[in-house]
Amino acid sequence: MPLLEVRNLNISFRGPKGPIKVVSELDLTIPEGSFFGLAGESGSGKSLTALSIMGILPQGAVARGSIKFQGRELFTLPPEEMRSLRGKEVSMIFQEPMTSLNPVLKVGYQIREAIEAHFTIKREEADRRVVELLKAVKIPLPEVRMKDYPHQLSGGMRQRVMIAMAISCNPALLIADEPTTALDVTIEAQILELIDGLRAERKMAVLLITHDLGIIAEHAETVGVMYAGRMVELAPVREIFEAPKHPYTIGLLESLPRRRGEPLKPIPGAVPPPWALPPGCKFSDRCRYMIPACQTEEPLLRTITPGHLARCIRSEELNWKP
Amino acid sequence: MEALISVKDLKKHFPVKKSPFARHESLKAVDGVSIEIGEDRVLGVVGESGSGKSTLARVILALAEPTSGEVLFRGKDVFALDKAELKNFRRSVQIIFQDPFASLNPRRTVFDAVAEPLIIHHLSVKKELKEKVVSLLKEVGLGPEVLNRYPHEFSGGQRQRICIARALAVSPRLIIADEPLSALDVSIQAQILNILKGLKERTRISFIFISHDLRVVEYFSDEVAVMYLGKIVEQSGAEDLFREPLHPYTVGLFASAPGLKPEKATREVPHGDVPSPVDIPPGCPFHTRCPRRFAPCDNIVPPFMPSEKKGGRLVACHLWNPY
Repeated sequence: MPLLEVRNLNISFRGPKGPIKVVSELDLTIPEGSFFGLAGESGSGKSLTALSIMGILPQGAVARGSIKFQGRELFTLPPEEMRSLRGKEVSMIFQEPMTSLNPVLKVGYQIREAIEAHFTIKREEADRRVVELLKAVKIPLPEVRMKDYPHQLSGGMRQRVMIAMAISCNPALLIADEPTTALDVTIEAQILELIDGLRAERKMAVLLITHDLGIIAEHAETVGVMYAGRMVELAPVREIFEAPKHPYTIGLLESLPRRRGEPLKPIPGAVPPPWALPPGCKFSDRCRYMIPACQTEEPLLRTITPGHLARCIRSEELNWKP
Repeated sequence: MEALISVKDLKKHFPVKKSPFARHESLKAVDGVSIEIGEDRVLGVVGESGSGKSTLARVILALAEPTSGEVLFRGKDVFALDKAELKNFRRSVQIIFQDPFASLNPRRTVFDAVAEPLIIHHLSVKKELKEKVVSLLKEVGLGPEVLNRYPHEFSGGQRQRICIARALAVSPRLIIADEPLSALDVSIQAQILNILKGLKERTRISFIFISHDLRVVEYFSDEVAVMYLGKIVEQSGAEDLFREPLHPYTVGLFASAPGLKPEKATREVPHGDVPSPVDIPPGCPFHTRCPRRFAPCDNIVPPFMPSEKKGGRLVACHLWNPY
């Protein structure tokens, strides 16, 4: 039994002319202790997917389908059970650590609060755990730092505190939504290294959401690429980078400068809003490989080679090399 | 050949006071920077947040007075220009900002935004104004149908195109692009980068291209300066720099940049955080994070000078220069 199994997830918002679908027929499987990278540009639905796993979708959003965590169906779980699961078995960190931390409480207190929400435990014991956690996320002088307020810490340190809080109850799954977007490159590398290290030490699965394919190349085992609310490609990391089978993934890879002087081949146009998607394949209006058949019927996410899925009728013809 | 812009030992310090009783301290945003940029060149400036990249841009544009040092535009001090000369300078040097949402007035149409510099600098008679605006928009891949639309109707990438068209209106000789791509999605970044590259080839405008994204800087720049805590720690031709970075900070910066190879790299990522620019460490400013720190680094500030060991490449590091 996989740790997390998302089947046929659909998320929509109420719109003036009927529901607006923002995530459509999404399937996702995360085995225990694995590292899953979910990539896509803004508006692709990757963050909403994460929020629906946590059961914290914004008001007005309606989710349908099935999300099974350790075999339990989350959509039908009573609210109190969901509350005890959230933060304990599944936890999440966000892009901007400053807005996730309470500015008027010491960071040590905030981490202790997370532990006390799920366990009845003596104050001294909790404090000892806080110091251990700060050590685990490699914050120097943990006994001193736990008495700091968030504004006294740098961006990287704040994200470490968020990670300490997220792993405080030994979750089986950590969801990280663009955890390094607000940070400098040297700090970004440190945080990614830390997350991957914790995953190996604690046998915790990681779902990392990002717009930058580069940051998952080194750490992820499986990569899912989303476009317009759909999973368009799902494959082991090596295949995504070395033999992508969806034109959108190819477009993303070609948008990144590789060698000097070699002209970039950007994807033309921009992501259409969810109420103005083209008929048939949702990427067809920007696709270089488009043929008339693409505009009539939406292709299914299908197996191209064992373990490698793509949502394109011409995948077999794509022979892209880095 | 005379340089377009030359910056000499430029310092910009901001006073900070932690409490009413504390002695005056200063935040050294730019601390002794000298650069030169000629015609038809792209100088990339890389560094992490707080390294002084944007402050440097502001001082070069004469938007902020330097604490000391000078900025020369075609040999003339830009802070001593008279009114007419300053106007001419402003026409020759333009800027594109990071956030295209904040740099366009939401109540003015695209036509207004792009025509304004033409009107201010008397570069067009009324009859030809519209024609000129249309041809500027064409340069950045926008059609005449956008003229009467407002900024909110456009995506980030399209707004950045409008900002570029506006900067181009006055036929500048230098454009300072301060993180022009970082607010945009990856596929849109490539579109804007292609526009900038095309412009550079057609118009021979020089660029100072400020970015934290090394891939983009490598792609676009002729020469690259690496900044750390207000100082340039290394500067050389883009090819040399990316083939063999000399300063340990540059090495660390490259090691941290996400690669596109799906395998674990063995690498040395600089540990710890960037120190506060109020308390810059003594000696080499990078010594607190440097994996190759040795005896002199703690006390002696390494001069920024050509390294004899490395064919005269500019670097501020005791490893490469005698101390």
